[in-house]
Amino acid sequence: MPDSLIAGVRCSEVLAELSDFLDGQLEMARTETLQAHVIKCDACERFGADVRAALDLLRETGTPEPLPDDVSKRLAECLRAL
Amino acid sequence: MPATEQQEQPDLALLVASSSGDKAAFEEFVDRHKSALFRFARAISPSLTDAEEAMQQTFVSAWQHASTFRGEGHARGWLFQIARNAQNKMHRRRAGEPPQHDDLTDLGNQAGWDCGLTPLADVIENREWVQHALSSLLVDDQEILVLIEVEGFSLLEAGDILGLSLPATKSRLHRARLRLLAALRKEEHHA
Repeated sequence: MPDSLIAGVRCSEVLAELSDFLDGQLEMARTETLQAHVIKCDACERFGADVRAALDLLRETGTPEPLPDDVSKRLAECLRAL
Repeated sequence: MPATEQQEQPDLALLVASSSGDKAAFEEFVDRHKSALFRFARAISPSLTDAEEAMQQTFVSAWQHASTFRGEGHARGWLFQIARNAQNKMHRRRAGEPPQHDDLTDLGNQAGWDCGLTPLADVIENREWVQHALSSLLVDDQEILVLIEVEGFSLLEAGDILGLSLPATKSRLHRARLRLLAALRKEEHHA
């Protein structure tokens, strides 16, 4: 990706701060600065959307599977021995 | 007791009762957390057998040390921290392992930053891809992604569990996310 300078910010800066940006961890002024870049930069907008999509997919795994029966049985045995 | 009433019993109360020898309370605490703990143990263990052993050791330790939990944070976080410490002890993890300090631009490029790929949301076919991509990552990456993205711990809570400062937690999370994205892109190529 060309490290374009858009709205006073380089793409590499967006890459470095992308998680903080997506998580709302940046100060308001910095958020607005990066937002101004992302709106005008297709590459950064697309990459940010990809990171979001990856995390959404991961979060969708949500509720853990119940323990396999044999694992659950051995855990119960272990607890009985306490 | 109906399940809804059981859920209303806070973890702290269950641990207080457990510390007085109330096994039924402890079993309820175990039932509440065992699936999530096993998932985390699988992320930080080299094998299923090790994950099971880590889970068992964690609950044994939680029973033995229930009185030390002071309720200053989530009992779940305390439990996950025990699991991680147990696993580190079992495998002396990271002994001699150089920390991962890949160049951020390289990481970004591996994740598709440098080229106009089809949007990820349009190409991921199933959740198995995500599970496979996650399990292909190194333990450091898996554990922080599971804690924060899957289990919903905050950055501060995850940092406490992992023994990391807030900036270090953020940095590790960012790199782990990029590596996950890179792994998903690999899944796409292999499909």
